[in-house]
Amino acid sequence: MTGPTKTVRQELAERLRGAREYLGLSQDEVAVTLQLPRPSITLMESGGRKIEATELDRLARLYRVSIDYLLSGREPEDTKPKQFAFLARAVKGLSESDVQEVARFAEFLKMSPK
Amino acid sequence: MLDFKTTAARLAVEVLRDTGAERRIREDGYTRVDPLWIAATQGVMVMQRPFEKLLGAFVRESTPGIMVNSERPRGLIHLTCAHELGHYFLGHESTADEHIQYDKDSALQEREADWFAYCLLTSRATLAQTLRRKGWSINALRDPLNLYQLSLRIGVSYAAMAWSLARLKLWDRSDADRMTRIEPAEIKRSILGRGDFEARTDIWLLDERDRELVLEPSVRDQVLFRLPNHASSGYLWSLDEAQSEGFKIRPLDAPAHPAATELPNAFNAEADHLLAGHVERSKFAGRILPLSFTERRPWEARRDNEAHFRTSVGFEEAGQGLSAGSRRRLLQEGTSAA
Repeated sequence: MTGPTKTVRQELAERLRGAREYLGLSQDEVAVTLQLPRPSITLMESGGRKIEATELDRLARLYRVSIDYLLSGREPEDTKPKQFAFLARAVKGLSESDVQEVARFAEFLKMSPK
Repeated sequence: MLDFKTTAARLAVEVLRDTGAERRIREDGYTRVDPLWIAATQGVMVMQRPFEKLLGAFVRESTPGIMVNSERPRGLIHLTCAHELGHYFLGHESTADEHIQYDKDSALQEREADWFAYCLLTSRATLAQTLRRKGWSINALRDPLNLYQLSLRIGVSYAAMAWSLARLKLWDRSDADRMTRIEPAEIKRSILGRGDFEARTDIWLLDERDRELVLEPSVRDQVLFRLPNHASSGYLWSLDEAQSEGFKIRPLDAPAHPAATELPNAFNAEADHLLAGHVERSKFAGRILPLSFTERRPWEARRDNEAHFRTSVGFEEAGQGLSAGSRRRLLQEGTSAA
């Protein structure tokens, strides 16, 4: 059995990797942008290193996700059904995974700086 | 002409002019209008993801975005992206497309976006550049090989290329109909002389008419060189420059994975040569790399009889995630926020 602390860090690590890969960014690009050594990104994404609050904030802003999502995995409570009425209008027999894809991208766009 | 077509066509002309997409073709050697590049100039984020049913979507948020199905062929991805750009420029709201190329009973918005996409990617001016560079008449495009090579340089599918020529009234619908009965796979096989390539791989045939261009194959594609042959008077094409730039080039007939020592450093152009990749894989995608060959007599020290073939290749990424332009913007904004 793994301890609860380790699990939380592991889950955070996986979400960080997932968020980076979703955007198609390399560890190098993230390291250069945030002015961090490349190995620190690798370690953060493998759960091998503690992440400072300021680092988490900068990662969340770069990936355009909420800190809450990175920590807990909770998707923001959104007005999904209303928001995506356009999908239902445009496509008959919607695929659930396609809706998820569009929702995730819309969330990313909303988090972009105005 | 119907009204929505005029509106969409005029808008496409403005976009080509104002974004500089037209100038890139006229002055910088590009052969196609790149809708992903245009999106980047407008601050529209482009995301490529695998969809089950959708081909693309346009999402209007504070930062607008376009999604395209990463699992479709490049030509269709470009046309879809151009269609979604149509929604953006035409001021439409968020929408999703299960297909494009809507029929006359479809919503006006979709037909408008379609027309915009065609006008953007396959304008007369864009086509004319390649025809002139390659020395092709409209009649020469009845050769499926030429039509296929044109479609690669314009960045749309073989079928979309044929129908575009009919749309531009450069030939009849019956011509387009006849040409699209030929399968691109057949054409590819005839170029390579074999059929061991993936369905999504396109086969580029470069000859001496492809000088001083920026050609944009996908990283999956195969690029073949067929240069003029003067071996009988002792001239050989030297591969030194291309190899020192990191390109791996081998004769078409050679086995796919020859030992490094077997790579030739010159070729006599009797056989086609294949661009097999780049020593640094990371350099292969998303960067414009100069590619040049020199034709000389190997034993001659004097350089004044040399002939050169110079062009550039910018391999287009094929995969998931943000487009190169969108990633650049994200990282820039990340740097300024840090």
